[in-house]
Amino acid sequence: MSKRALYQLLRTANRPRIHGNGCVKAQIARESTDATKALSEKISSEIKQEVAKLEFPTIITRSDHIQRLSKYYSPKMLKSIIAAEQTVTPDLWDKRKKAKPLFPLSYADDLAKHDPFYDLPRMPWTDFSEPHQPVPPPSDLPQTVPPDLMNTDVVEAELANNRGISRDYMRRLIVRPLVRKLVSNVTRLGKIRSFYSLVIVGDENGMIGIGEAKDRNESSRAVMKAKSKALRNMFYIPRLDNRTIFGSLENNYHGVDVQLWPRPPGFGLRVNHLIHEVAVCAGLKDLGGKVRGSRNKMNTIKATIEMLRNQVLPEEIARARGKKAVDIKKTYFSARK
Amino acid sequence: MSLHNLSYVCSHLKNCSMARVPITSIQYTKLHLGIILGLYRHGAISHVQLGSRKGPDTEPVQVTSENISTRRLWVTLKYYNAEPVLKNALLESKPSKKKTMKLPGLKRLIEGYWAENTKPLDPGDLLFLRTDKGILEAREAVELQRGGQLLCRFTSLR
Repeated sequence: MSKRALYQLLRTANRPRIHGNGCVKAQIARESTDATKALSEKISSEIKQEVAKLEFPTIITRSDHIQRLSKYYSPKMLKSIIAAEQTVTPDLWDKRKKAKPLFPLSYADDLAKHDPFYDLPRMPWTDFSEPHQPVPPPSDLPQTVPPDLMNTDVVEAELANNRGISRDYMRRLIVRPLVRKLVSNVTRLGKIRSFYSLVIVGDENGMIGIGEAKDRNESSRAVMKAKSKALRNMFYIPRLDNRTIFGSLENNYHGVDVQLWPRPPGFGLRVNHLIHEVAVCAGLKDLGGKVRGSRNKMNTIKATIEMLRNQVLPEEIARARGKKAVDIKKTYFSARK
Repeated sequence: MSLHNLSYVCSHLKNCSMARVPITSIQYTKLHLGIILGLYRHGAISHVQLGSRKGPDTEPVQVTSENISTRRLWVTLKYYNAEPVLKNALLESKPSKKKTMKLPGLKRLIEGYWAENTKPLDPGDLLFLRTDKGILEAREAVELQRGGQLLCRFTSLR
């Protein structure tokens, strides 16, 4: 049989269809009449040989399919099954309602080849001959053991290896345990007292982190745990001229009403003692402020940090307005480089 | 002149911003037009259109004594990054107490200092005042060396 005739036969017969969930389903060739049964038997053996060389070798011929069914069903049932299968024409199969997978792709793809954009792994060891799921990056820390918060070395190692923060930088950070108190959990056994600590960590240059922790037995251990947490929670806060905030800030957090306003250079930090510490850690040098309402230590610190973090920059306002923001001082009064 | 309607305009624009309404209408008066055009010049609002009570006019309609009562100013508001550009609208001169300010006071406000019991301008604040050159923003008034009656302030910070 010529290759052209074979391909024509296969095209009119059923090509393997890809379901939505990506599996290749084998298709059954249509039943031939009595007159062509002998011919189809001959063709099926030829097809099997040719199919083995093709891209989709998983075609099952009609006779194989009937043989397989006859193992499990009685002749009467087999007849009704074949009659039912014959009602499905290629047109009907093409117009079938395709199964909707839970997370469908927005583009048509059989996922058989590696896509240079959508398939994520691009590491040196990735085998591009097969599509992959994303591979996590290598890490020299043991993945199964959670980091021991008590052991600052382990946390420092995590920061150094996974985030590229130098140990020298970590040693120069300011650590301020601002809140240390006893808290008690009342249970049926009585009052269980623990030491609570809130620690802030900063590099005096915009980076600040806050951590809270408790320990049953020693307050120093609570401070160490909180310090570890703070080291892992560091974030950047924007500052005007690296010394003050951009506009006036106001925040109401759990009964604490904090107001902060920017001040000229040399003014100093004329604020609540807790806000003063936060400002020093963050690298703010000139601030005016007032705490109204509650002055709870924990909440004051959290209120301040929340609003320093969520500052609206003049560039963002300009972008929203469709205008250009220019720092007059930098443009007109900056020294030549 | 009455600032009663201006107070309604300010609260209406603030309410619409909070509700993320795209387009809204306000009373068509010279005062309101001046302020709205000021907001438009500074990019705080997207479009300004004249229209009737039902909607903005698609073609220019001449304002006559017959249709003046049904005229409204239609304002399209701006939103960026899921936040409104006009966050708050506050009156400076209230119907009960009018405020005027001369040039030196305005200069202090712009530089970020308190002046005559008036809060300084934050980044993104627009303070409109009524001058002999029309309704100007504080910085425009200082450029033209004018003071006047403070009207209202629109903020972008909170």
